[in-house]
Amino acid sequence: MTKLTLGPIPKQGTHVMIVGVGSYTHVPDGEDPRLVSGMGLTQLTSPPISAKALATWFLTRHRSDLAPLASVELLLSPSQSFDPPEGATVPIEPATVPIEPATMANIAQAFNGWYERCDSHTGNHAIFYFCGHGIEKGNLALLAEDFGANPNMLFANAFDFNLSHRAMYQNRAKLQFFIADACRSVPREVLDLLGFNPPALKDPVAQGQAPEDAPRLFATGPDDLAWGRSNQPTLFAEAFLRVLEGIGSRRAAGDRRWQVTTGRIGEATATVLAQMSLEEGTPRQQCRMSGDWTGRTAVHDLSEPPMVPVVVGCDPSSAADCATFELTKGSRSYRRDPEPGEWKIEVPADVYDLRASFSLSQYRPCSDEVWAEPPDGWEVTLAVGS
Amino acid sequence: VSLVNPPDGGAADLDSSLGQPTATLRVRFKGWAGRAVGATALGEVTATDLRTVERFALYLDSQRTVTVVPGRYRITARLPSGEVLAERVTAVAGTETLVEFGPLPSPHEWLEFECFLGIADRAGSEGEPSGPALTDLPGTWLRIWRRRAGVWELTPRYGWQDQDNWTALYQVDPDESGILRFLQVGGLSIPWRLVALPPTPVPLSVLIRSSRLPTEANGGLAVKLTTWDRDAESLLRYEELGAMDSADAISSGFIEAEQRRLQVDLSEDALERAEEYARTKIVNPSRAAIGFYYLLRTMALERLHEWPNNFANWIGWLPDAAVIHASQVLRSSPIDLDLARRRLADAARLAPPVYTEGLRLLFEALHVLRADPGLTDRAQAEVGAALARVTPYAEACDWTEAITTFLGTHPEEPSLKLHLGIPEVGPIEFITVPT
Repeated sequence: MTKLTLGPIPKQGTHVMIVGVGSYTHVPDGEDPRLVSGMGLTQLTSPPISAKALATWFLTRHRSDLAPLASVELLLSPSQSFDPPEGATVPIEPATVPIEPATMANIAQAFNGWYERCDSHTGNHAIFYFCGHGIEKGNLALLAEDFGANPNMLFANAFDFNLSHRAMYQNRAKLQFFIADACRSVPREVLDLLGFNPPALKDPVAQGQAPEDAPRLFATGPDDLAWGRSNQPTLFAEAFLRVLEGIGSRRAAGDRRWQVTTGRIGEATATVLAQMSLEEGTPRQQCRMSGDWTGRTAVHDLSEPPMVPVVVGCDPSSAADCATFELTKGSRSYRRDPEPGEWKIEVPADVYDLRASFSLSQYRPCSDEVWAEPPDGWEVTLAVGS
Repeated sequence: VSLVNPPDGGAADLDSSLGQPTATLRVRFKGWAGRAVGATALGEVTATDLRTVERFALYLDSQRTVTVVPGRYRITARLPSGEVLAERVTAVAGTETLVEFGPLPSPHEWLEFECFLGIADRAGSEGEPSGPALTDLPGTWLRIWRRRAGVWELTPRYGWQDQDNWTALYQVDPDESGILRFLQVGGLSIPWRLVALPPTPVPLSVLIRSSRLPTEANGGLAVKLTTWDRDAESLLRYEELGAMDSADAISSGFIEAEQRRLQVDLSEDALERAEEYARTKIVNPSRAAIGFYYLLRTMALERLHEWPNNFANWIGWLPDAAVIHASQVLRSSPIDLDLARRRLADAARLAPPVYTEGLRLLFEALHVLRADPGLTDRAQAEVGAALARVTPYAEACDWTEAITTFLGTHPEEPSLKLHLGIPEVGPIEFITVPT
C-alpha cells in the first residue's frame, strides 16, 4: 500500500491514514456504470484534492512534541502520483510516490497496516480521514472506488465509519480521531429500500478497554450534504486545515505553546465553516463532533503564534479610504497607507497597539488596543467623526 | 466595566506568601432574573501574552472573584450558544475591578434562557429574524404521548405558552415519576417527529421556530427542548457544539454537585436507608443521566463508582439507566459480558433512550456484542433481537439533537418515511392554524 516512509520513525508518534475517493467505477459516468442515477451519486473532483492537501499539511506543517509524525498512509481515486512536498519536516522516500487507488481491498489492507502501527505504542495518535461519498442509515457507510460492483451485495465495497472507529477501541493508541468528510444524505425513498449492512474495517470486540480520547468529526449533519467546489478542496477540508494551522489553537495557562486540541477542533471548524458561508454562493454547512472524548489531547503544537485576521474600519466608513493604519507590537509593525476600504490583514496572534491618522483634517487621529486571538481575530470600527 | 478604587487611594495589596502585589477581578453576568438564572457560561481571563490564566464556570446572575497579578487582561464569557462576549480591563494592585456582562438582548424576557443557549434567534431584538415566520408553516401541531403500565396513550399538555410570529415556547409540566413521555410535532408540510421529554421534576420548555438548516426530514421546522435544569442544559449544549474544551472547564461544578447528590441518593448506604418510593422521588433521573453520560464520554470511569448499577436497578423504567450501566460494564476489565448483555436487552425493550448519546451507546454496544465470540448462541440471538428493535430508531434518528428525536407516527413506530398531515386522534394543539 502507499505508505509514505518517513525516517527515522519515532517510538511514539502520529500515524495518519487518508483516503480520497473522487472517481467511482460503477456510478454514472464511471468506467463501468452499474448503479442507477436515482441514488444521487456522481463523480467528484474535490476528494483527491482534499486528501492530498491534508497529506501535504501533515508532511510539512504538523508538529507534536509528544507524538511527532510517524507515518502517512494515502489512497486516492483516481490513482495518481504524489510528489512529496518541499519543506517536509521529515525525510520522505521515494521522491515521487505512485498512490494506490482507494478500492475496498486497498482500503482494508492499508487499514490493517495502519492499525498495527497505531497499536505499537500507548502514546500514539491515530488519525483517519476519509473524503468521498457517504450514505447514512443509522450508521454512516463510506463508499470505496468500486462501490456497487456486486449488485447483490451493494455495501460490500463500503465500510461502516462508526463501527470501524468503535473497533479501534482495542487498539493501544491513546488518541483515535476519525474524520468523515462525506455527504450523509441520499434520497429517502431510495434509502428506505436499501439493505444496509456495510462491514467495519475490523470486527469490534467487547474487550473492556477504551482509548483516552476518541472523537469523531462529521463534516456535515445527518440528512445533509458536504460541499466541495469543483477542482478545489471541500469546504470542510479548507476549514479543517485552517483550524489545524492555528485558528483552532489556544495558549493554555502555564504553557507557552500554542496547541490545537481535540476539545477545540470541532467548535473551531464549525466557526470557520459558518464564516465561509457568509461569502456569496457558499452554502451553509455545519460539522458535528461525536464519540467518546475528553478534548484534552494536543493534535498539533504550533512552532510560532497562529496567524489571525484583523479587520479595521471607520465610522463613517468613508474615513477608512484616507486613513493610514499602523499596528505595532515592540519592534514589529504593520502599516497600511490610504486606499479604499477597510484594512484587512493577517498577523501573528498577539496584543497590538493600533493607530489611525487621516489625510483629511475632518477626521481625528485615534488609537486602540487590538487583541488578535484565534479563532476570530479582531474586528474594530474606529469612531473618527468630528 | 468600572474600576473600584480602594478608599486609601490605591495602596497595593501584598500577597503574604509571594510578596507580590495582587489585584481582584469581580466578574458578573447579569440576567433578567427569570428562568435563565443559574445557566452557565465559561469565563476566561487572558493575559497580554494571550495565555489563559483562569477559567471558571460563570453562572447567570451570580459573580466570581479572580485574583490576578496587576496588569492588562481580557475577560471573556463564552456562551453555550458559541457566542463570545469580551471586555478589556486593567487590574490595578489593591483594587477590585468589576467586569459585568449582560443582560443579553432577547426579543422577549420569556426567551432569555433559550437565547443564552443559542437555540432561539436573537435577531428579534434588533430586527426581524431571517428565517420564515411560523405562519408560513400552516397546520403545524403538537401532542404528547406517555407510557403508563407499558401502554402508550395521548395526554393533554399542562403549562403556559408564549408566541410571536417567529417563535413559540410551550411549557410542559412534569408528570408523575416513572413515566416516559414523547412530544410529537407535525403539520401539513412538517414530517411527523417525536422528541423524548426528559423525566425531571422541573418543568420543560419546547421551543418551536423555523430551522436554520432546513432539510426534507425537518420540513424547515426546528423543535428544541430544554429542562429547567440550567447548568445541566448548558453542559449539554457545549457537548452538542463539540466544545469539549469549554464543557471540561464548566463541568466540574455540575459534576461535583451531582456526585454529592448521587452519594446520598444512589450509594449502597442509601439503598439500605430508603424505600423505593422515596428514592425515585429523590433522584432527578434526567440530571443524573446527563452527568453519567458526560463521565462516560470523557472516560472518567473512576468517578462512576457503583452508582450506574443502582441507577439501573432503581430507575428500571428508564432505558438510559440500563444503557449507562451497560456502557460502564463494557469499559471495565474484566468484562461481565452477561451483565452487559442483560442491561442492553433491558434498554432495547424500553427503547429508545431519552438522550441521543444513550441511543448511540446502545446501538454501538449491540453491534459490538453481536460480533463477540464470547456469547452463547442463545445470547447472540437475544442481542440480535435487541438490535433489530433498536435499528429502526437509529435509522430514523436526528443525530444532531442532544435529546432523542426521530421521525415516526407513534413512539413505537420510528420510520424513514415522511408522514405529513393532521392526526385524527387528540388531544392536539395547533401551533399555527390550518388553512
